[in-house]
Amino acid sequence: MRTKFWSFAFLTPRSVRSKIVGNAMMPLVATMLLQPLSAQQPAAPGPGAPKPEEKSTPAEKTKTEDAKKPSEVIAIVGGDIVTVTRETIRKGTILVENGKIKNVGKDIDIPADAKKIDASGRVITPGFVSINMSGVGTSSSAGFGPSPSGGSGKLADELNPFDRKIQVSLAIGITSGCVQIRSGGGGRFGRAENEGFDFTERFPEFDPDDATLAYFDKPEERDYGVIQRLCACCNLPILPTEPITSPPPSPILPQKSSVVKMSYGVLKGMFVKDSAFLDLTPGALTGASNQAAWRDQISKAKKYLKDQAAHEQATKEGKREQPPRKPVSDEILSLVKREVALRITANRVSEIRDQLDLAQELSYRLVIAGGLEAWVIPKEIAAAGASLTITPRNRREARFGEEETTGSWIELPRVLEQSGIPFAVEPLEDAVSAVGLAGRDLTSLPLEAAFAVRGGASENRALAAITIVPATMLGLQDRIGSIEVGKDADLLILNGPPLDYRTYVESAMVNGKVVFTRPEDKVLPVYDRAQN
Amino acid sequence: MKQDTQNRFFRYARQTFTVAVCCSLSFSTLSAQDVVAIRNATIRTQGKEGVIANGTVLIRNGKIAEVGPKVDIPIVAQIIDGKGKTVTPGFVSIFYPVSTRRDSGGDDGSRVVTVQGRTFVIPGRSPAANTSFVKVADILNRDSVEWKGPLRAGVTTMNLVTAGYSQAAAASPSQDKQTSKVIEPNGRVVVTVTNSTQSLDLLRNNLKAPSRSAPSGVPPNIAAMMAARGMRPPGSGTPPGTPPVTPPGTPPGVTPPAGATPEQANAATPELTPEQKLWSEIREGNSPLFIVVNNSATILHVLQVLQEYPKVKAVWVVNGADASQVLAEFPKDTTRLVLPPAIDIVPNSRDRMNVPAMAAGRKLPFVLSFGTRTEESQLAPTFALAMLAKTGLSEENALKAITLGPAEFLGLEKTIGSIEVGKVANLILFDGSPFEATSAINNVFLEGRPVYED
Repeated sequence: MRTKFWSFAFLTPRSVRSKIVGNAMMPLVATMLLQPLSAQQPAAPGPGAPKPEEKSTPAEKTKTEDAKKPSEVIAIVGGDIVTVTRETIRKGTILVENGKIKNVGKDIDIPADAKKIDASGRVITPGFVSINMSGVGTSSSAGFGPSPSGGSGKLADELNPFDRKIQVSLAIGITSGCVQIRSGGGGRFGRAENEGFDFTERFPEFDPDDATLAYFDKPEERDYGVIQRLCACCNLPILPTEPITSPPPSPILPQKSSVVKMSYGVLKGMFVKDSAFLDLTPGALTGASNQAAWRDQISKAKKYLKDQAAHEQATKEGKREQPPRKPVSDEILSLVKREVALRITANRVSEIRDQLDLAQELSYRLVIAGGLEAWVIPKEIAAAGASLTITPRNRREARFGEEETTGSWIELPRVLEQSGIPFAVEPLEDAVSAVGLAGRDLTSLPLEAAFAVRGGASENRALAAITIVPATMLGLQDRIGSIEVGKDADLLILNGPPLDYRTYVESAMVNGKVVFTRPEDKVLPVYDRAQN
Repeated sequence: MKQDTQNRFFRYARQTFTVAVCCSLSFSTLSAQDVVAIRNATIRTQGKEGVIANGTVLIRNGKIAEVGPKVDIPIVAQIIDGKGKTVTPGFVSIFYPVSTRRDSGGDDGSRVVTVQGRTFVIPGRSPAANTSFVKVADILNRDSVEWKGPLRAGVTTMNLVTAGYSQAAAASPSQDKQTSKVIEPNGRVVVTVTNSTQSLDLLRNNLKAPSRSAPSGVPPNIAAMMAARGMRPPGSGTPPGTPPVTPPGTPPGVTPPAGATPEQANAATPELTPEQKLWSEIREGNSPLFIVVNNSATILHVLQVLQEYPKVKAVWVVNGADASQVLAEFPKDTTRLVLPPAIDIVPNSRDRMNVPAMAAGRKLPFVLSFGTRTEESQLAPTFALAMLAKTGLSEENALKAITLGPAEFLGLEKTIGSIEVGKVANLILFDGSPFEATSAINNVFLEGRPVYED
């Protein structure tokens, strides 16, 4: 109706319009425009009365307003606190100050000026940690795919705290996650088409503007490279043929993962950790030549670390010598230093064994992604000190005649728990999806953890698989993943047990600020089941 | 002098003989070009006088000579009866993009180059990635601005900008109404920013006080690369005897600071380039920086950068929905907003909101970008303004946001933006209240001359 009216008003000649849209019509226009606005301002004295300008609409009172006062103490009272790492506290209190958990317990003095949040009848858990997510919290143009900054940008500069997908993630309880940076690392198998290419980095003295004109003597050279010979009979250039032997393996370039928090509307504190994992594509370490290249890189890195320590010692002693040249990327150095873990997909027993052997031989931390057949060799995995990220609902058929040693098994979570192998749960897809079958994408994270319970794991262990275990894998066990004094106040107030499919996140807090409330953010249905 | 005596005589005569009024009318045709009086009109002065219900504006030699409820109209004046009409200052378009040759390129700006038989696609650059500095006044094609439409919408002054990183120029139409007359060639610095490292680095590097080792304009990574290759960045001292080195590795888009001639660059004591001078003015808060952003996240990123420079006055060219999400984050003293004149939709909902009114409620100085939309140049140019005024923005604030407000943002408030004695007579005569959809523009006066008549 409105659209119709508008186009009518604009397209008719003024002489006609002024007759139609006379004074009689003007109040109608005003009311039509006013209606949605006044709906937001219930306190307005009346539809006709002028609105005081000082009134701010609810839309304006976004998270940013709550975020303004970080120094005040918030007391969450009356809820059952599932700490994950310790006992569950019935009807306890959590004090939050400066974005951190100040105190947790049953009998806690609440400061008089504390802002109270009543959570009686609710369940409080730490915010969930997604071990693998993509496309959340970054602007669509940056970080993933071709980036306007030519792929050389930093994730910290490309974060978008107003991404709607952050609200969707918060709605199911994810407060922090590990994001793979795809454009930065340069994959093992070359770059995607059109991917940002830092020309100046590779060819610093090359001016692309002159390339086609000055750089080559002949046009054929521009097109085919420097031509060695021309064919004697037809005078066409003889092009270089592909070498018969395969080229030597190029250095393995792991991808990087960073940790971001789902602090909707708040940029400060959103970026948590630059490098959390080293990711390798599934086939990167299979085959003798790849493994040889990998060993070579690790040993180079180890040698470099030794050389550098010696260099630092020498500098202290007053000697002046050249610092050693860095032979590998910073990511591999931090892997060798055991600051980050290597994450690689391995599902079959043989694949898992390969990775365990390599990790033990080269002594780095290992996280196996997938691990479908890990139930066959739990003792070997436990002995190697590796951990797993699993998707309990993922299935694979056993090979014929090898049913006892191949394929997926629903009891994988139980086996892992009983063997003391830490495991994190990740959903089937790592992105927030709005289309297709529900229950596969990132928003099914707690549901996926519930399937670990179905596979025999204890409920607390399944909850740990989406909180403290991934936090530990990311090296952030001191900051997130459980409710303990001194940790970041990333908390969820739930209206039921955390792994129940009926449970909603009522509100979510990140860094001590309420960044999600179910009735206001309208991501999930807002009606209350209990009242129906 | 002769005219003065004439005027005095007739003033006296009019007090005595009412018949003299008839004489004044017959004389008025003689010098109608220079003296014009609009009387009996509602005058929204935007000045100290406020709104004059039944007043007169006297224009002489393109300037406003007198304004008030009671003004003696000289006998030579051309008189326009403004009964039932409204006079407002000419509108100032705060952000009027003009295209330059630099902007024209391929569809996405990407290029294919071949090096030694290998083909590379160099991705296109967004305006934000265009880090080279352009002074609009230098490249402006004076007849490239189409003035007819804007004049019909009451726009008498424009702040001409280009995409990317530029120094704006304020312009009016010249007497022929075809070409632009630049009234302020050294306008404000305008920079388009996105939430990307390269774009934010442009701000970071330029805001940093220039030092000899890292001159403004050369990003640190390039400077480091150049240092590693033994090149000297422009602006740093060159040892005597060495010929000036131009860095061949400088990538496209990263030019040495504008105006840095080799002589200047190699001087023993490097002086600030014109571009660096502009940025030091911005750093000290003497001149505001126009920041064009296209999402709310970028605003937070830029605010983080600006935290180190509390004096910087930022003028945010931003859409209403983005601004509404971060209104509480803007520091009140150093923030000015340029908002589109429209009712906005609350993000992630279907509710509507009046962001200019919200900004007014927070006492954030704001203006409305005006003159860039086609409907404004059509029959009811102030329709959008009227909508805002009907839904919570006061009429005075709404009018100020396209007259005196932008004039202040541009530093031109002493000459334009309001109807006050001594200012340039850029005026609009509406046939009713400018806040009624049925009102139309009767006439636009540019420096006292009627340039558009309905």
